[in-house]
Amino acid sequence: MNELWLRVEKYLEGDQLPGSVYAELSGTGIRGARRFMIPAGWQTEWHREPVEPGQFLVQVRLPSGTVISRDVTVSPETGAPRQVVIRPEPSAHEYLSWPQFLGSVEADLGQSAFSARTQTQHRPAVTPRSWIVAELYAQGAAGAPGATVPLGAGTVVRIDQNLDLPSITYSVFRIEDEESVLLRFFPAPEPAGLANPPALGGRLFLRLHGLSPFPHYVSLPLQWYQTPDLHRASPSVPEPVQVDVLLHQEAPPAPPASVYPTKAVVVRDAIMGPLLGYLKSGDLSAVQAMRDTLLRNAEDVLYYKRYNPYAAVAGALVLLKTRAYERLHDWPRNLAEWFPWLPDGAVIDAWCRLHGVYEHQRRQPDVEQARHDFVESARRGVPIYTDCLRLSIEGLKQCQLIAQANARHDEEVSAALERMRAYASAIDWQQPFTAFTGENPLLVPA
Amino acid sequence: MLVFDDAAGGPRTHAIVIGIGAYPHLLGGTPGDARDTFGLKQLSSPPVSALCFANWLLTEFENPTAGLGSLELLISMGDTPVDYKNPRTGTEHRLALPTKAAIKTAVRAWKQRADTHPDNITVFYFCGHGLARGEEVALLARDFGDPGATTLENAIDFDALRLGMEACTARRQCYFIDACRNEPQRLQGLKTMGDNQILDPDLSIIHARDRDYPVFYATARDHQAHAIPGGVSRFTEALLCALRGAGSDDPDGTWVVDTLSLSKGICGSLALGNRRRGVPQQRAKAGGNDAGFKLHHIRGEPHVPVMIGCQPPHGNALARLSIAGRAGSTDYEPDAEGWQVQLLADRYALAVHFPGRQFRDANDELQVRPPYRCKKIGVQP
Repeated sequence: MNELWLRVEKYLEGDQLPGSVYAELSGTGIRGARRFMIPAGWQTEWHREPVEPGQFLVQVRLPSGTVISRDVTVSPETGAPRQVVIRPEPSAHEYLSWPQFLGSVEADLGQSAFSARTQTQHRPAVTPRSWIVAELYAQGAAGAPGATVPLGAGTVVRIDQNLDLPSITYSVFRIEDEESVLLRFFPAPEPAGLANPPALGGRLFLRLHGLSPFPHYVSLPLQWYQTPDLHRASPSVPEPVQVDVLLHQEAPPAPPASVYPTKAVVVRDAIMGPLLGYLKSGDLSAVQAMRDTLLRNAEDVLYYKRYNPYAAVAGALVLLKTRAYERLHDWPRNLAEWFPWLPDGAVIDAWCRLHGVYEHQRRQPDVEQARHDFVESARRGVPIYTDCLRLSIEGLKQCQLIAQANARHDEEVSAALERMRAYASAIDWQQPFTAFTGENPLLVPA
Repeated sequence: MLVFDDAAGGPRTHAIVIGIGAYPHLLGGTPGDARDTFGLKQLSSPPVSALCFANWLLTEFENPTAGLGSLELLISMGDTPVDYKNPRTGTEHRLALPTKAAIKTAVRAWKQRADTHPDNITVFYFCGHGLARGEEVALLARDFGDPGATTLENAIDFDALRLGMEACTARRQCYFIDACRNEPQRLQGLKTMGDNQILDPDLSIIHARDRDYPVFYATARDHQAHAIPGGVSRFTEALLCALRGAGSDDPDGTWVVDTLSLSKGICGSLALGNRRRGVPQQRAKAGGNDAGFKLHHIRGEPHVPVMIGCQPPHGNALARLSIAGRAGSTDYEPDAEGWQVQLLADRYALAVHFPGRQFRDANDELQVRPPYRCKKIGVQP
């Protein structure tokens, strides 16, 4: 028996992602294909796969949706493992490596800027993208008016406790070149222990303005904690992870007034980052094929909702999409009740109730409660995840149809639906986190 | 018009296929009298694309647990109804023109047939003009733009149709929308995106059993879907390529197109097409809610799109390519853009030969498996 050693070689600014990329191995002696996850990073560890000597095809599907294939021959005469390194296209800039790996931006983004920079590397300076005026916009738990913090290079953000907002401190770094602005939110070194969950109580948005009558908002999942591996003997302490926001515009010197730059919110979470990438690229088959591993991760982050409600919502979405209802338990109910500032928890709970997926419901829909929760979620504002906005609109429409079937008009549902529809028209559906144009996050133009 | 009806017992697949190229009220039509055309013209590809897909269903579709049960076909090509010969039965049919009223009747009949068994599969295919508002899509019927009707009166509110199908007994549903998704600003104020009463609201709208309903859109929001005039559209071409193999997988050792792998096949085939020079970029999008179900079983090995090129690429214009497999060897003339071929999933030997000796001849191996393969053969001067 020989061994194939596999890994994805991609510089991810020093991060190593164990078991994050879906791979298939077919060929000699294998019926169908073997499916497993392999590590990604720079000179990271190997995934080891025992094989008989022969010819094989390795197919790797990155979270971005890119497929990379390699023909591999394992010779009988050598006992040494056959090492296979999968190398995705290099990124034009280091800061593009994560977003391109996850598919948050196009693979060729930045290539033109890179070429230009290579040709003009002795020129003294690049043109700053001063047309992007970025602020952090904080909205209190009860929809209190937002506080704003301008985001420049080296800004340290400390959120005012009076707003009942997250007790967080972030260092913000702003990097600019000809086409891109990168806002990098470094968490302050205040790790919470497992018994000491962070206090969360409101929403944070990135606000961009100066280009049209209304500003543009991007939901920020701050503060994001890396989920500890519960299946280790001694689980590690959850640590806050870095969140990057990349803004990119390819039409110098000035974009049209109504056009906002390409945006990508990248959460550098070794587990949930790639999973969010697979969901965004629509590669649910990779998630289905690796149900045991990936769904266990999704269940874990949902369990740890007090530490990271944003990851918990993502985990619940994965479990809903894959119909792994038994792993949902009735935890979305807690997500809805414990985080009253978070629309997403109420949306997911409402969806579960509408379709009777909780175990105690025995597949009997609870239309009344679902209706109440969908209306409540709309009252809380735009969800953080675009997928939750989709579920919200779909659920409200179903409630409206049910009212119609009973020959009545449900004013509350119609009003909630109109409100969510307004977001739907203003939103960038390609982004996993909601990004939209509006007067403020609670008021989008009709 | 029902062009195929096999009412035998047990679960079946029930399909409705609509292709609309002629829009009499829009630009270039007769009388061309729409008050607001939205800049939309006559199309030549949708009837061709819809007929291709219908023929595929009748001659190639295979599902051992839900074989084809019925096919409803509506085509608009020119001013008169189209005569269609069913390639499976040889029967001639005069197809109904896909006006809004005709589509409404056909959709209701289609749902009624699908209602006969919970394990039925439904397939909805539309190729023609579309307009969008956010994620909502209006599918324009042949009589769209009739000055006697309101703006979207002769359009189908696809969201309402899709949601109305929640009440359908068949819990496995597939939607293919081969239409543009441009978003005119003046649709913002409208209450609905067309007729939203195609299917009656039903008290049993929420079923105890999950519904899988993947929606495959030809293009992303606010983007156009493309076609060569008079030819099969890019999306339908990619869809057929995926159904013939690019969208298949073999988790149990046999090749099956399930709705999750189908998505990878469509996207992969379109992505390979995007690499051809002069071809407008198009990216398909998947929507709906789907945990995946087996749609089509491949007879034998799947056909997989393969792109082969020399490294460095300027060798492509100078080399002859030979691909040798179990069935024999095929030679290809030099092609500056590289070679795009369809191969059965298997193992092949590749050889590039340079008659002008600009590079040394080279050999390589190639294993082919869905969704697609791209292979570079390194050549040395």
